[in-house]
Amino acid sequence: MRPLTYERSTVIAEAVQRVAQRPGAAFLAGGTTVVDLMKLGVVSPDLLVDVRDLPLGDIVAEPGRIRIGATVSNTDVATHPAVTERCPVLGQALLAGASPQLRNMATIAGNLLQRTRCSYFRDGHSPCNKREPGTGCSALTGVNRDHAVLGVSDDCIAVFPSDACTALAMLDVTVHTIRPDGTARVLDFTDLHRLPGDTPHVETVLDHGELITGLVVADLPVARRSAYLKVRDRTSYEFALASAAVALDIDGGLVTEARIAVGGITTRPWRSRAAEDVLIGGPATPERFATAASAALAGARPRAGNAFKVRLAEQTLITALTDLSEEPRS
Amino acid sequence: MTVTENRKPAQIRVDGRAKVTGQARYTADHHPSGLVHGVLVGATVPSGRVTALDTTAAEEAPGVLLVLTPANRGPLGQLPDGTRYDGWPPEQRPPLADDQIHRWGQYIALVTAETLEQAQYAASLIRARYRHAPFATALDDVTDTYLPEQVMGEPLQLGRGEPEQAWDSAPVRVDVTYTSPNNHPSALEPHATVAEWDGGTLLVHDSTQWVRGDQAVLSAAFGLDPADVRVRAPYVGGMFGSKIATGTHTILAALAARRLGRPVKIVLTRKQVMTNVGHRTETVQRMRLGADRDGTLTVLRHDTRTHAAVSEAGNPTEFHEPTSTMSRLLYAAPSYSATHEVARLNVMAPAWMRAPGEATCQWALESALDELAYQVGADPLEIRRRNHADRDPHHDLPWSSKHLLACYERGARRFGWDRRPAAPRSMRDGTELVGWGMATATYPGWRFGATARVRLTVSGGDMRATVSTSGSEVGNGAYTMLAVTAAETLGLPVERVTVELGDTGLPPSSQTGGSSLTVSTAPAVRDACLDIRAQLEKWDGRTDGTLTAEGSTTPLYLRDGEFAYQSFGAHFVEVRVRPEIGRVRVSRVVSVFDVGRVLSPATARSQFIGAIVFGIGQALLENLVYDREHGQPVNADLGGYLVPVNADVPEIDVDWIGEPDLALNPLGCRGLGEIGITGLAPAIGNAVFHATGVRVRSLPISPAEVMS
Repeated sequence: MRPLTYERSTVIAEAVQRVAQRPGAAFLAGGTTVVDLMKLGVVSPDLLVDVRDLPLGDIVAEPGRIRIGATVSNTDVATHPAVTERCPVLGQALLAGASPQLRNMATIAGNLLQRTRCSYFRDGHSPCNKREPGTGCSALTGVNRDHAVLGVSDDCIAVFPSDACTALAMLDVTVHTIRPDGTARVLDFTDLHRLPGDTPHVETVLDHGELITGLVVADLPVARRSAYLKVRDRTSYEFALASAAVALDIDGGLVTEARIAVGGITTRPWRSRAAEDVLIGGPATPERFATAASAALAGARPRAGNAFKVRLAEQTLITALTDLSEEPRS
Repeated sequence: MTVTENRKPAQIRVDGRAKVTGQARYTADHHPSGLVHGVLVGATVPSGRVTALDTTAAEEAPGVLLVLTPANRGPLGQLPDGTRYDGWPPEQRPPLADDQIHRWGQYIALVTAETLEQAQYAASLIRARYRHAPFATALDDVTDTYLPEQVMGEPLQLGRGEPEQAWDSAPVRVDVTYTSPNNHPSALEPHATVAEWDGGTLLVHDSTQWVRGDQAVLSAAFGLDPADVRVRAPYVGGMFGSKIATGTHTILAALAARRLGRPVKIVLTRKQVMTNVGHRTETVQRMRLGADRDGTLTVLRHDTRTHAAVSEAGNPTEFHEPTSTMSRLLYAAPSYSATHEVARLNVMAPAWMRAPGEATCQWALESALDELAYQVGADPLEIRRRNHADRDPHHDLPWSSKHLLACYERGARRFGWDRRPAAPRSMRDGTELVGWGMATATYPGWRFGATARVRLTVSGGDMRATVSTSGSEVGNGAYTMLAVTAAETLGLPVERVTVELGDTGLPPSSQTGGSSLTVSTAPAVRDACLDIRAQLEKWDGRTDGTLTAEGSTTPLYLRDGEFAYQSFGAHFVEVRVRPEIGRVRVSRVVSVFDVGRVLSPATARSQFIGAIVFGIGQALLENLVYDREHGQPVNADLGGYLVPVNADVPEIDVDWIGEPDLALNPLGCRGLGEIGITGLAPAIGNAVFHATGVRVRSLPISPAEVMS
């Protein structure tokens, strides 16, 4: 049998050291990605360091920000009163993902490092640059209905599947880590994930052994009026074909502030400043929303199986904006 | 088993407690002492030859006992080919026969070890080298096709009247093509086998819907007298047609067990289930309806393209979706023609999946009929009434019992169909468009035959009965249905009846398939019970003792020269559509069925509801997709192959007419396990059209097509 060591640690520095010192080691939190991929033979770490006993399990609402520990469950983030009040989009996005059982196990930091659902990545044998660099990308000409149209490269078109990260991308969020040398660093959430480029196997800017300790979600007035719309074939327990996280401030029919992110069609969390720029200062009308949606999808590079997603994503964004603009201000 | 006194027999489920408390033992729950675990290894190319198979590392891995490959498999007897309907092998090609690869995932080795984990690890060490050969996994990629004469004895190229002339001269014509993808009958319980030998006799616990089919295949494979092969399947966790044929894994488990002299268990992974046990094939169906200006059909032409498996060339009983078996008889079109064109693909052998042929036929036929209704400006329900077949037009026989018009009437009333505005896109609720659609359901009235034994034990004035027959309970309610039948006939409380099922040691019954178990076994049980009652009349009632009787039914394959046997129904569906994003949700289903007399209402209702949920999956979700460059199915798991979850399932209102079909059997029942799926997908598609004005002609109906 494949030998595997499992450890639990209560000390952050120790957990980081253990993983950093061993190339085949990995952190284990909720396990909803790692254990899955181990069973499929896609990843085979030789050491799993369980981080759930680390003192990272609190969510604290402070004036001006919400601090979320790395191991807080998706369920606890989604239902926290500060989240539902200050940034409902994040709660909605979390609840649109997975199933209650998975949300109870999955952690918020794990969600940031979720792996793609690309079937060629997950099958363990097809050519896949993300799983085995240099082998090629089966999805380019294969079954690519579920694949990305934004942020793609000729080496990878796999979707980054997280709903929560679509919401986090349009909020003001920092990611807090401890590096292998013991130092702390703070990243803007939007700097955490990399585009696939010609190294799709390198998905984030984190070093091996670097541990996410938590997130800080800064209060953003516009986010109080925000929403997440997810389109999928099945009503529940399925990843997005397209999704939109939107926040709007409207005053006298004019958009005074807007935040936009799109999901289900992108290779990394994707805030669309182009769409925001179209909206801010303009009228809150369906026509304007359509222009913003076109701007959001302007760089789309669809393939045979996912060409429909360009229009679907535009329509999803327009619908999310329309619904939100018609919602009475609470 | 205790049953609460205040519950009527109609409401009970005699096996409910055993199932929800884990007392019901399914195949994989058996752990005989000395058990060995088997893990199968599949090919990773869809076509070609295995040029080298390196098993050294696997054989040297800890705990490994035996690695079976074509090189050391040894002889197997000639498997039955199905022509005698006494058992079906999984594929024409015996397992591990040679180095030829016909499809991705085809088993190339079986690894057995002391523990499951050891076997899994060793299986991962097997290395195969292949010589690749050309292949195809999509209907569109094949131009070389053939025109099979029959499937299961039903002709596939046929006609009546003057179809060409009638088509040419029809005042109204609908000429449309509907497609449906590969679907997979993935039951909750994966296919599993535990095989153990005792000298020259074989005991197999198997997830099968046909213990006697297994017995026939296994006795042929191992050169045994069938009496020396015992197969048990008292509980099966769903099957949907995929557990009729004896599994390759079942044969290999028995082979390995014999070689090792120890029991062997194999449980397929979900991916192996979805690449090996058969599936519903892709169809392309051109429907041509010619009609008078009021929508009365003058001609119906039905041309189908579907596929079979490369491995099954030359198989006299090969199966593929027989789409025209219903279109030929459901409506009173004087002229009719059907053709079936089949391509061979490098995929698993097609199999019977819940309502095989019927579910795909109804998708095309009932959708096309809806298009005709709009074309002539008639109500979709009215157009079906207008074309009602008062007798079977294909076999030119009267129906044994038909109450389809009553289904239409009752269903329409319960649904409120008379309030339906005719024009598409005329109902809205907030941001959603609302649409109403309907379709006819139909399924043949099979009876495959069975024998059953009833034993009545009298002890101190207390009577208890035991009912025994070999058919399997597969989640269909067989235990309850037979207990209720025996209790009613004997005049006993149902809790005094015990039912034994799923064992070749019991009186022989046919398979639990074709919606035929009830029709085959319940009248046999009733016969035996009537015999017991006659014996009881001569009983003094004071002495303790046991009375035994057997009853039987004979097979009846849909028509006996006197009648045609067929079930009917009507679905009425409401959908809500968010048009901007193409989101379709089924919000209401009303279905009324004509299936003869219903013996066990609680389990019948569940069967109907389950089949309707199945239909929601067929309509909106299910699609097994193969890669065309590498040949593997890309979504062979339940994360990627979508079936409905609770959130997809609305309120479902099910009712039945209940008029007995006494020509089919003295209880007047017909089977009801499959009819619920037939017609549901087109009812949804028709409702989507009514909501949006968008006609989707390919399944599954997805946001991309509905989006406006």
